[in-house]
Amino acid sequence: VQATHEAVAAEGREFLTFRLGAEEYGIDILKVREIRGWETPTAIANTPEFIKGVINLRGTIVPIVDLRLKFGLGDARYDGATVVIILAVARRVIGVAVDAVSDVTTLDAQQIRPAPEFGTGLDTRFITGLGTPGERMLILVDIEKLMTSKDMQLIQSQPNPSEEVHEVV
Amino acid sequence: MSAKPSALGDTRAFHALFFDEADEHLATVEKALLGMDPAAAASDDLNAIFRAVHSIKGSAGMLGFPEIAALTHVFENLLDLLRKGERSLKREDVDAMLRAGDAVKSQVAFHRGIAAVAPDMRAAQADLAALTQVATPQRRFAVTLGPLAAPIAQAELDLMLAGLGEMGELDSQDIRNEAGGEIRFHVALSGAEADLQSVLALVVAPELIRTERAEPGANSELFVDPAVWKRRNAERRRSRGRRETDREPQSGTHGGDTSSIRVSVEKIDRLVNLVGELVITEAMLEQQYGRLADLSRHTRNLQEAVMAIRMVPISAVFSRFPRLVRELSQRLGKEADIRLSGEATELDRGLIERITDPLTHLVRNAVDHGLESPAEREAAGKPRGGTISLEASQRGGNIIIQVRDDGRGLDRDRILARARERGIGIAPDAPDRDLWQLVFEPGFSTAQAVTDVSGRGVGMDVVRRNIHLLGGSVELDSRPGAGTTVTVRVPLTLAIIEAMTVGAGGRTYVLPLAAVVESRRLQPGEIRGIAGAVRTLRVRDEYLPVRQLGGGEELAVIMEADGARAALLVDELIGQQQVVVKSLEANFRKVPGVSGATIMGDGKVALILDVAHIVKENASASHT
Repeated sequence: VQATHEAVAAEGREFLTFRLGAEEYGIDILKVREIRGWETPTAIANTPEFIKGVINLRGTIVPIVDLRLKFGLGDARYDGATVVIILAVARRVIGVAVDAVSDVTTLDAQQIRPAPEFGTGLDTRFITGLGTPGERMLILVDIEKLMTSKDMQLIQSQPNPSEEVHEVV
Repeated sequence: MSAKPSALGDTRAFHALFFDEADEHLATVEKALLGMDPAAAASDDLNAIFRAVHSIKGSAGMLGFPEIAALTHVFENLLDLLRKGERSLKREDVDAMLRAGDAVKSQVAFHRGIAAVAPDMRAAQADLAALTQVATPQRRFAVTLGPLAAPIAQAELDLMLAGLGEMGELDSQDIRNEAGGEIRFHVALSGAEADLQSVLALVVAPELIRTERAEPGANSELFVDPAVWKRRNAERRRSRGRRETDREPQSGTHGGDTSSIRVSVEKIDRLVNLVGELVITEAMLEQQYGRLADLSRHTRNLQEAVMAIRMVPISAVFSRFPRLVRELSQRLGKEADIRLSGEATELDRGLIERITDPLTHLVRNAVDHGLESPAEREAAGKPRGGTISLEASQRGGNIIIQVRDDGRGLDRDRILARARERGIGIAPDAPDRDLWQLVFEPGFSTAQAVTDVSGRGVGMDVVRRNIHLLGGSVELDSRPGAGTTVTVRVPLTLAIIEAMTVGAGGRTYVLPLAAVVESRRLQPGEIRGIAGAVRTLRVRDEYLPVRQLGGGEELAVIMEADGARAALLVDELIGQQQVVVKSLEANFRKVPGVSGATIMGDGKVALILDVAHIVKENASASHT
């Protein structure tokens, strides 16, 4: 994780920012494949509530996760404004439903502060820092680490712990 | 349906083999015929066709298919004339032979039980016979043998005369069978002149044979000069020798360069199914005992190897197109050539079947709409004949098939006009890409006239839908005056299963048909509880555990897996269809009770239920 911080500090990176309830988040733009409108997925039994189901994305079956439900932020409404961010992480394609996509922001090292311990639903393990462009506060998330984590139940749990470390790098 | 008994007794065991071989031979015949240039027919092609037809004739006669034997016999006669240069190959010959091939094909299909009605082979047979007749009307020859150095043995002479008597009519005999004498007679034949020569050559040295046309009024041209005959005879011997050596490599292999065996599709599919079950079992073990690395790896490797057996070169589809293009262009008064490449590209057998129709449609379109008439082409400074090219290649996990023509290209203005007519909102300056997409809209046809080939506006949308059903995509690119290219992309790795689709709770689910025993409509109260918790359904003498999929309690699908059964309550039976199995695990993970997913006709995802899991879950539940 430390190495990631330094990489960010050195170059400055672009983040796609989106809202979950009142909070604004930023994720590495390179992990984003496309942004789509909401379409009702096919629900799957025996999965957590925040996994909304799967959709057909040009012939591939893609799971859709609602981060609002996962983190208890905002109310999970599905309407014309609901946006699905299609991510390409860990050689997988995963869709994430959020309230709205704001913009793409470039942050340099000075604009990224370490994240304090705070009591949101989102585990601080997945927060790489706080972005502060102007007056805004972006919660920067290591989306790949989050999506591949056990909590998301998106990926077959690997009994081998070294696997998880690999995924982050 | 059944063949007449033959000398071999019960030959039914050989029938399947004969049908397969006949189909293969017919494919050879068709390919050779289509590849043949009437202006310069290669004797190799004719010989290949002859061999194929001859094999069919031989087996058909032996196994008791007299209709096939009769037709192939006439077929052979025509080929013989062509082969020996007695008749020069014309387009009508090729057409007649193609039709004859079709007739045999449909006869084989009938005997296989695929076609319900026995096809009438007489037309095809009459066509061929007419052609052989035209080639050789009865001709009278005046034959002179001699002067003889010594008398010919009487037995040999009788044999020869009897042989000629079978071939035609013999008269005006003047036989002086003695040293210095001559044997003269007239013979009227419908057979080939070479046949006459060969019979005569049995008894007399070729240099002593003289045959002359003996028609009254016909200028009695010397039909074959002895010197010419001698030379021809030598050539014929050489070519026969070559034919014999040609034959050698043919016997063991079927055209391919690797040795192969013929295995029925059912056996392979069974293997695929078994491996599929193994994969599911392995997944279940993994869930119970954690990851079993070796087992998992071996299972996957086995699955891949088995799936590879199902792979078939795309030439299986492409091979039909030369004929299609030929016939279509003929019918439409166009000239078209077809070029195939990448025919060795392999794809799943199930996919081959399902891609044939869309591709056929695209090729038809290319000939009908794409290519201009020869006159138009000339006016545009292009060669009179158009070219349709079909190209297949593998790119990553996809097979890409391109259907290209060098015709007039799509007409922007006409598509725009048509869009306006149909009330489709599109800007006049929309990019080509967007405009071409309109061609795939239902009912959208810009054909000026509806022909029997195309132009009814049902087509491109069906093509697109079918390709989408396979999990593929289709794109169109066109330049005015330069032609149109349609690119079809389909996944390479796909397994298709026969499935029953059911509705429950407003959703569609897919059940592998192999696991479905029956479906039943239930009476109220048929489902009973045991100890207030577990519900069962009595089917004949068995109490089956009940699994609820939707809200209804009126329809039950009885499923079986691993020897155990369970009843699944559903709201609706939708139908049976083949579905493409998509992995849930590629982007997600295993979900208990779900073995995969498929994409339905409306683009929605439907889950394929893991029957083994559902049955097992119930079985264990009913025991607790």
